[in-house]
Amino acid sequence: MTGPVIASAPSSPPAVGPGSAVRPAAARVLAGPARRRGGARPGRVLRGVLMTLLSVFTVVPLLMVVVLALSPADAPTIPYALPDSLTLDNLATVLQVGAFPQWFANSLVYATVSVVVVLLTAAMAAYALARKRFPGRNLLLWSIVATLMVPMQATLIPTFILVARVNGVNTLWGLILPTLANAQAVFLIRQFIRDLPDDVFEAARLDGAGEWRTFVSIVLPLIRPILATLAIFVFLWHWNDLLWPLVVGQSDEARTLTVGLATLNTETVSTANVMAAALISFVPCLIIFVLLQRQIVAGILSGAVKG
Amino acid sequence: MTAPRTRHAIVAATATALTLSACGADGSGDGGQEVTLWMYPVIADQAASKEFWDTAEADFEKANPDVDLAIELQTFDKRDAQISAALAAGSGPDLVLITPDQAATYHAIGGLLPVDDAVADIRDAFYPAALDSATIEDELFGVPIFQNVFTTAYNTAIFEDAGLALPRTWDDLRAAAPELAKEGIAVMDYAGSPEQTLNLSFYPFLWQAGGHVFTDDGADVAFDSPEGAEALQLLVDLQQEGALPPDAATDGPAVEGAPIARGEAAMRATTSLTEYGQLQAAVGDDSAALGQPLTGAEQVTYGNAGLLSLTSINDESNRQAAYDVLAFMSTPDFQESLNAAAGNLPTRTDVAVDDSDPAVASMAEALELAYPGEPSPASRQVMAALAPKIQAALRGDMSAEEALAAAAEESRQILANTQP
Amino acid sequence: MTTAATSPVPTSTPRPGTRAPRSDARRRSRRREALAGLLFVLPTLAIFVAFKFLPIAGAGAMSLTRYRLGGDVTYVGADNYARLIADDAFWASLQVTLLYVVIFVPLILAVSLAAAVLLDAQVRLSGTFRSLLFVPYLSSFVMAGIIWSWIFATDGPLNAALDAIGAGPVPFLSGSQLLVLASLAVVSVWKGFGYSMLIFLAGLKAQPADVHEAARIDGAGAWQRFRRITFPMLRPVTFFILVIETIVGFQVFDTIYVMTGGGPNRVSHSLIYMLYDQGFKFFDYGYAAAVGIALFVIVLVLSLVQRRLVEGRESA
Repeated sequence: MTGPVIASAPSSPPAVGPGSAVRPAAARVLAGPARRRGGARPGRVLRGVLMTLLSVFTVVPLLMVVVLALSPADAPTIPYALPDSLTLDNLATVLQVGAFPQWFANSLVYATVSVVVVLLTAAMAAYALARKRFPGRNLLLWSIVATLMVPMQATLIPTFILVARVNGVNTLWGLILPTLANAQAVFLIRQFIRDLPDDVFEAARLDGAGEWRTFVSIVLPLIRPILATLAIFVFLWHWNDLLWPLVVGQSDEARTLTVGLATLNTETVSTANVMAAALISFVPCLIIFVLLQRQIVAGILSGAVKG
Repeated sequence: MTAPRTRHAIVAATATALTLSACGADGSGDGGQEVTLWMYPVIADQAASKEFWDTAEADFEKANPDVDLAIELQTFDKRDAQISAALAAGSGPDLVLITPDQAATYHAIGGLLPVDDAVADIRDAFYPAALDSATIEDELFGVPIFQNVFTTAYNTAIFEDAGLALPRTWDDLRAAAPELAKEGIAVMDYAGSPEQTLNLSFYPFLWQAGGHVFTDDGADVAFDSPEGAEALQLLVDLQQEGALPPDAATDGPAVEGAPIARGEAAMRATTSLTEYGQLQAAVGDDSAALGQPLTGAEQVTYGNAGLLSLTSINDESNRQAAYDVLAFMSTPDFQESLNAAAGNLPTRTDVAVDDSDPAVASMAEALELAYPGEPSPASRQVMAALAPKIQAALRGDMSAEEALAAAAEESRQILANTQP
Repeated sequence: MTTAATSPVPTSTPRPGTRAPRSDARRRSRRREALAGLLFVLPTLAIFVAFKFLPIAGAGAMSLTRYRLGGDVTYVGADNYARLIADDAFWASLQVTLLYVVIFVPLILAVSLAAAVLLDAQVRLSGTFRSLLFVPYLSSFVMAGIIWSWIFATDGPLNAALDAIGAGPVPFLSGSQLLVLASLAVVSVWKGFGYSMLIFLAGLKAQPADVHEAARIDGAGAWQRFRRITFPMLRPVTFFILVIETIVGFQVFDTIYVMTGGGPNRVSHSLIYMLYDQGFKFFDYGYAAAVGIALFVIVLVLSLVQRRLVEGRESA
C-alpha cells in the first residue's frame, strides 16, 4: 500500500482532503433545516414516478413472502395463483419448532451486545485514528481496512480453531467475540470524525478537557447520526449472519434464530413453512428498524455534521 | 528458495495453531462420559423429529446411566462447512450421520475412526450391501442405521390420458417422449442443478447403461465411455425434443413446485418415499404410483445407507460410550421406530418391513436393485467437475461426448492432485 | 506498506496555535497525544489482532501447506499457488467474478444514489418511503434467494409478464453468462442497496442548502445542480461506497449459493464459490486458503488503482 486509500495525502493542504467540500455543512445545519427542495412541477412528477417504481421493486417481492407464508399448504398460491384463503398455520408450525425462545434470546444477545461493543470500541479507535497523531497510525488504519478484503470464508477455519482452543465453542462469548472486529464501523466513523470542524476540538483543548471527557461529551454526541445508522447495520449483520453462528453454535445453548430456522430449509419442508420461518426472523428486524429509524432520522435531520 | 528455518517455523506454527487444538474441546469431566451426536432432519416433520430424538436420548441414558448423550439436530444447509470446521478444530461431534460418499471423503482426510468393534457381535444381522457401503480398506467406517432407496414414480393420469403404458425401460421412455411432448408435457423430471448429487440424477442412468464413474481400482474415472455417452445422449435427446422440462439443467431436486408436481412432467426416475408422499399430495393419491427402477442395459438405481460414523474428535476416554450409542441405535427396536418415523428401510435382516403399505413394499423391492454409489475420496470433486458439463450438454453448448471428455480431463487433474 | 505509512504522519489538520517556540512543551504534548491515541485504539487493536490478523496469518500459513486432519501438515511452499495459476477453473472463476463486479458495482451505486436523491427531495411521506426502500436490506439471503428464484423462473411471474407483452421466455438463471450474472446482480442490488442508500442520504442531508439555493437563483437546472454541486460534494461518500461495494462484489457468494449453485455450466462459479468448494466440500484447506489470499491480493491491488483514479480526478 502506498499510503492511505482515502486519507488525504500528507502533503496536501487541509482544504484538499475529501470531505473538505462538505465541511461548511456543520455550521450550515446549525442554522436549522431549510426546506430547499421543492422543485418544478415536471421534475416532481418524474420523481414521483421513479419513487413509485423503486418502491415496487423493493416491496413486491416481500409481499410475496408474506402471501406465501400465509398460504394454506397444498393449495395453489403465487406465482401460479393467488390463494383463496390465508392461514396462520405455517407460522404456528414454525413457532413450535425446536428451542425457539432460546434461539430468539441468543440472537438478541448476539446482536445487541455486538452493537454496543462494536460501536463503542470502533468510535474510540476512529477518534484516535482521525484526530490523534501516534506512531503507526496509518499502518493500523489501513491494516484494518485491508481485513475487509480477506473473505471470511478463508479465515473461518483458523478463527474457529482459535475459538475452540479457548473452549469457546457452543458459548455465547465464543460466538460474539470474533465478530467484534468490525472494520467497516471503524472506517466509516473515522471518515465522519475527520470531517468534523476543527474548532470543536480546539475549543475542547483550550478548555482543558480531558481526553475521555472530550470523547464522551463532544465526539460521541457529534457522531450520533452515524452511530445510529451503524447500529442498525451491525444489528442486522449479526441477526442475519448464518455461517459463523452455524459453525460455532453447535447446539441449542448458543444457536441463533437464523441458524435454528435454517434447520427447516430442506427439500422436505413446504415452501410455505420456509417462508413462514423467513418471515418470523424478519419481523424482529423490521420492528427494530422502525424503532431505531426515528432515532436516525432525528439524528440526521438535526444533523450537527455531514453524513 | 525458503530457508529451512522459515519452513520449519511455518509448519510448526500451522501445526500448532491448527491441530494441537484437537485436545481443546472434550469437555468430559467427572467420571461420567459425554457423547455428542449430530443428527440431521431425516424425519421431515420438525416437531416429530425433535420428539423422536429427545426420546431416543432419554431412553439411551436410562439404559446407560453413566453416559451423557447429547443429540444435536443440525441443518442440511452449509452442512459441509460446519462439519469441516468441527473436524479441523477437533471440536464437535463424536458421532455424526453421513452418507457413504461423505464417509469416503472424510476417511481420506483422516476425519473418521473405524467402528468394527462397536458392532462385532451383531455384524451378521446387517444386509451385506449396507455394510459394504461403509467399508473402506476392509474397515467399517460407519454403522448403517437406515437405508434409503430411490425409484421411479409416475403421474399415471398423464399416461392414461395419452393412452400410453407406464415406461419401464429406456425404449419405453424414448417411445413415450414425443407423444407427451406434443401435449407440452415432459416425459420425465430431471434435477440438473450442480448442488444436487449426481447419485440422484445422472449416475443411475450411467449405471443403467452399464457404465461406471470410476475404474475398479478407483485410480481413474470411467464415465467417458461409450456407456457414459449413451446415458448422457439419452438425456440430451429428451431435452431437445422437449421431453425434459425447460429448466432441467438447473432444477433442484424438490418435488414441491417442480414440473412433476404441476403436471408438466409425467415421471421421476429417482424418488424417495418422502418425495413420493409429496407427489401424492401434489397430484392426488389416485394419480401417483411407484414403479421399479428403469431398465437400460441393466436395471439398477441408487440407494444409500445413513451411516452413523465415529469422528476423529472422539478419543479413548469416551470411546466405549460412543460404541454404546452405536450399539443402541443398531438394535432392531430402534431401527423399527426410526423407520416408522422417517419412512426409511431397515439395514438389518431381522427388522420387518411394513409391506402393508404398497409404497413401502415397492421400495423394499427396489432395494434389491439398489447400488450404493461408488465411494471414492474424490467422488465429490469429480461430481463438481462433471455436473456443469452435463448442464452444458443439456443446454446444447457441447455434445455428449465432448462434455464427458472435458469432465474426464478435469477429473483426472483432480485425481492427480488428491493422490497423496 | 511504505515508510510513509509507518512514519509519524502529519495530520491533515495542522493546528494554528501549536507553533510554540518551546519545543519541550510541544514534545510533551505530542507524547501525551500519542499515548491518548494508543489507549483509544487499544481495544480495537486487541480485537483485530486476535480475530482478524491472527486468523489471516493462519490462512496465509495454511496456503503454504498441504493441511490434513490429524496433525498431518506438510510444508509445500508455493505449490498451491503454482497449482492455482495452472488451474483453468481458477481463471474461469476470476473471469466470472470480474464480470459480476463490473455489472454489480455501477448498478448498486446508481440505484442507491438515485434512491437517496429521491428520498432527499421527497417532501411528503419521506419516512414511509425511506422505510419501504430500505426494507429488503433487512431480509436474509435465504429469503431473497427463494423469492427471486421464483420471480426469475421460466414459468415465474416476470416471464409471465414478459409473455403478456409478447416477449418470449427469458432464461434469467439458466441463460448466457451475462444474463445469469446480471440477474444475480439484480438480486444482490435489491438485497443490498439500502446500506449505500442510507449513507448517501446522510451525505446529502448534510449538504449546505445555500449553495443549492445560490445555484438555483443563478438559473441552474436540477440536473445541472446535481452534476455540478451535489455529486462533487458527495465524492468522499461515493468513494467510501465504491470501495465497500467493490469488496462486496468480489466476495459474492450467498446469492449464488442459494440461486444457481455456481451454474449453469459454472457461468456463476465465483472465486468465493471455488474457495468454499475446495475448503469445505473437498477439505483441501491449503488450496482453499490460497484462493482466499489470491482474492485478497487482487482486491487490494484494485482498490489501490481505484484510489489512484479518484485522486487523479480530484486534483484535476
